[in-house]
Amino acid sequence: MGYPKIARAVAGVLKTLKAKKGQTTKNDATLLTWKKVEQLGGPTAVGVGRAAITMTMLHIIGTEVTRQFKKPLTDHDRDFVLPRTIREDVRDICQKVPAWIAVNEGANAIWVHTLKARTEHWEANGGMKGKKANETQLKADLSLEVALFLIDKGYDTLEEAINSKK
Amino acid sequence: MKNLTDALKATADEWFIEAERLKKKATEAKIKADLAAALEKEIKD
Repeated sequence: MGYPKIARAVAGVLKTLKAKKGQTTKNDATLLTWKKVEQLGGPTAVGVGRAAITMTMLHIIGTEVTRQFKKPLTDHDRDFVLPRTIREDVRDICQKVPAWIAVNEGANAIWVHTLKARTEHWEANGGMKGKKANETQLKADLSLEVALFLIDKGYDTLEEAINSKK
Repeated sequence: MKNLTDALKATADEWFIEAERLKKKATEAKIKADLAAALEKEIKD
């Protein structure tokens, strides 16, 4: 454990919970410990430095950025930004796509707003998704192959198959 | 499967469930790819 003061705070909370009801949830134990950390003076008081707080904040913000990339277009976009003359089938597609699309892979992938995306962006996005679909399908086929292998050879698990002398 | 330990200890039933989960995921990705292709075509035309 990298943070002994947090470990002590958690131990204290769990001890109290054990004495009170003898049961809890991870969420409750976490929130109660957070309250205790705040009473002690906040993260820095329990040895979590500014760098760790910054990293945690970046992670939280990054998760939110991804969530907003992937959420559907806003009602405003659909009602006011899309041309009124747009065909109904195209409007229908626009309601199913995310607000932003990735045009390549990885942490530094470029995301383009759906309403600004050009042909080449949709082509790159479609290619990526198609590739992902194929890769996932191959994994699904492999899982099926393992299941059938276990049944066919009479093993309970792969571990048993590996350790078998047969 | 989350990791190698899970994979080694999984039963045939669990492998079937995993295959089904992945198949569903692949179908969803395919739908998204088709949507992107439809919009690409729409813009091109």
